[in-house]
Amino acid sequence: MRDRGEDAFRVLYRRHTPVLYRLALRLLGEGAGAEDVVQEAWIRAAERLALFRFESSLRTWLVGILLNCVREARRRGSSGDPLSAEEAASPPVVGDAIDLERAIGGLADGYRRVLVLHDVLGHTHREIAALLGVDEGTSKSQLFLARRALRRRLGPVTRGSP
Amino acid sequence: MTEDEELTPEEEAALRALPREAEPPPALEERVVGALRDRGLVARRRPVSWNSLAAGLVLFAAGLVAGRWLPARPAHPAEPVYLLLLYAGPDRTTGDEAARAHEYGAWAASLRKDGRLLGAERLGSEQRVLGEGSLAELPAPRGYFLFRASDMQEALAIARTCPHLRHGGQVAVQPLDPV
Repeated sequence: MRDRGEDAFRVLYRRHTPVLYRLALRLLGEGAGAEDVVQEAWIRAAERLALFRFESSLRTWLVGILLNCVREARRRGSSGDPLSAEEAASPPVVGDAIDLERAIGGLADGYRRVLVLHDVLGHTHREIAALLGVDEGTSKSQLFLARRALRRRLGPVTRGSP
Repeated sequence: MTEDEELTPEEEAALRALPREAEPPPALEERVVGALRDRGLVARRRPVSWNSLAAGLVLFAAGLVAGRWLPARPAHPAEPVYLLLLYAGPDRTTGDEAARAHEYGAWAASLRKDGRLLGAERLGSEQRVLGEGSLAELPAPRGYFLFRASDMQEALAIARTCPHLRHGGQVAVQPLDPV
């Protein structure tokens, strides 16, 4: 991507966009809003590539840019209902997975964001702190509260049991 | 219902099992590529044309990779843009023109490597003046460079390294109007 070749960009796009797109769907919901933020994220990534210092993986860096685009989209009010997007994006599976997606979609934005980054995507608190511009303690406390809120949404039945 | 901070193994497995990827709509890739092209952030696929070089595509461009001009990486998207116009200087028929062209091309390449260069062209000698002003003839620039710099001071510092000055020419530096 640094040499600005289109073919090189398409390789990167295809490698990283599925994760970015899924993250945007989970955080924003409505399909068109997710596409817009993914597009905006790639534009900013291309503009800021000179600033990428390899202090994180390229994927983490792209996620950080996407999170900023999502935040701005939410402020503009151009997001939809995460629940409806998960219904549209998920295959017609009956059972726990849909309930879990619905429950995540119903969380408050901040809870949903940290829970998805940590428990779904596997980012560490250190990475999340850098991505969200908070300290690690805040990330941990937000995750604790997010998990508690998720459990309350799911109800008393243990989810994900075999 | 547990209030523990940690996930149960079942909870952790269920969350980690959620899909991490979603196939984006195929049209999104073309939208993104198109948007990057419009902003000059990716180079269009363009066949190398030696005929187009012979037709006077910039001898400066001869110093660039494989005769194909790639859009520059901006130093910073917010930095202002400056136009460097080249005046006077050696005639094309005097001295070692190929060596000079290589020198100018190398200078352009160094600007691009720093993420500054937005454009560079040599201009032809024919000039036609239009309009109702009193000037029948205006100074005819020999070429131009378009590059990013943080301010006029930096733009001048860059301009002072332009090889055109070493060959007896003059240069003018002007910022693009940001409005």
